[in-house]
Amino acid sequence: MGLNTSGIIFIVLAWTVIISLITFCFYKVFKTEQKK
Amino acid sequence: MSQNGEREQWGTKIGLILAVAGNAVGLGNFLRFPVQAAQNGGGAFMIPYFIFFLLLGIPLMWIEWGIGRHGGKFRHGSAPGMFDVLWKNKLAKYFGALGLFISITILIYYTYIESWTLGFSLFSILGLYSNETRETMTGFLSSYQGVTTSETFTSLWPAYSLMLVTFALNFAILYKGISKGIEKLAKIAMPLLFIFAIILAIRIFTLGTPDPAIPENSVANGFAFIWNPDFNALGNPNIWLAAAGQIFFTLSVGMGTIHAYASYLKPNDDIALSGLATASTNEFAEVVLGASIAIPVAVAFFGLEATKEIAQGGAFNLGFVSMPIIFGSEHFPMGEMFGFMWFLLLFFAGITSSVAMGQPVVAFLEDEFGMDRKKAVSALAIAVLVAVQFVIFFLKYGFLDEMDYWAGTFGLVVFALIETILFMWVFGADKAWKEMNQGGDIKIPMFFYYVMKYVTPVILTVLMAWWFFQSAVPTLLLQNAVPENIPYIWGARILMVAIAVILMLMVKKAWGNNHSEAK
Repeated sequence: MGLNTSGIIFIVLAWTVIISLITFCFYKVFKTEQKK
Repeated sequence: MSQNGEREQWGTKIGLILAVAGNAVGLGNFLRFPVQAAQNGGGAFMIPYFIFFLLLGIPLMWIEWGIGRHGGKFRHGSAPGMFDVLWKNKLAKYFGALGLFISITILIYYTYIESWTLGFSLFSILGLYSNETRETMTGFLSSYQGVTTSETFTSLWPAYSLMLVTFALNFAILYKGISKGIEKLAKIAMPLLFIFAIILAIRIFTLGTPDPAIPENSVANGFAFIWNPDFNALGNPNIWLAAAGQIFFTLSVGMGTIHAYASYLKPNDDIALSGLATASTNEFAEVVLGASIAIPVAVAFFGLEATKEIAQGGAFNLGFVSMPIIFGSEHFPMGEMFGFMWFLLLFFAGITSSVAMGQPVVAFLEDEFGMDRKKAVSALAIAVLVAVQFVIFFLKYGFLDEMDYWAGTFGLVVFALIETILFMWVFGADKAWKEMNQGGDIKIPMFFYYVMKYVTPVILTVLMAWWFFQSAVPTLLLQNAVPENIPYIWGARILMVAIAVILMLMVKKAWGNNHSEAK
């Protein structure tokens, strides 16, 4: 069986969305903390 | 009296984010989510899941942070006082008492479950289980819980002793306070949790096919089980409600805990970015890490059909029966160490949540009764220690399940609906919006104003109605209860009613003593 094309698209999309969101949030947190 | 002294504050913003994320990240991220995804359309489940993350999860996070920080300005660290300042009505504080009821009721049984994870981490490193079958491992767990006896556990004392250790750790952390206790725990436990989860996920990725004689039992097929989409499932409304339910549970909203943590912020501290960072940290733990451990490895060891059966058996079956069998297998090198890491990461996920559940009642005693923190924590510890005895000794009669249903499932959605209506409609959407954006390091997109005012309450109402008709009515009428368990189920209900009545009377007394004089 294994991951099919749709499965790969979903896992890649889901991971990309979440990793982008967490990276953005913590980048902003550390950046604003440094400014203060 | 704390009413006259300075309220505690968080030491750092990152400490606060980790503490709230610790509250959200729990056993459900690693056990409930992969089961839900696999059972509800695989990758297609992620479509409603992300939609509800946007329309329900993130809005509720911001609403709770907003209510909490607003209440903190008036020296209220728990929902009764917070609701009282949102709605100038005698009833408001009693609605807020629901926030205390839910957090303390869940705390009573959650610390006990948390102690199992501590116990199993020790059993892993001591090699107490190896080459187990599903039958022997089920027996191992039930004898540990005192439901049966076995050669390893002839009495409840090991479980009871570990409960006391877990209990002492929780209350020692609460005793030390916000910055020196809860924040310090989050700064240690959360990074360790993520490190352990990443190591486990990498180890499972690299397992491939543990038994080459059965090539279909592979990690790749485990990922396929979770992620290959079944688009037909999207036509089933139950899948959408399951996704909304998962988002709701995973973020630990509707408990009064986020409010309590946010009340220790200064009026101009950011909540917009912090709320989003907390939610995204939880999602990382759930979707990226949670989905990469238990189910893929279960498929690799037991095969697809057996894993479907395990998933049907629920999260505990997966976490405490299937995972130890895998770690004790000869096909999992250094299984003792990985088992230790698995259960310790669950313990960290648990303890960062349970200390959060203790905080609302501690804050209530401090802020509304003027107790110092040590007395408030001691009072809570005595109350919880008394109540947990029923959970431990009546576990096999469904005592815990009954408490979990009313406080940990149905109560959450009721409280979330009440707080959303109070904040966005009674207090006023414009004032609430201003409150949530005050001091923000990011501007919350205007889209969420309309979502919080109209969409989130509608979704919560649908969820509540669905759960009411699907499970609350049959549960209330004991339709599926084992006859032998019925007296104990009623016992659990009497205990919950007693807790609710005591909290209501305390709210009445607190407002009689202090607030009427102040007004």
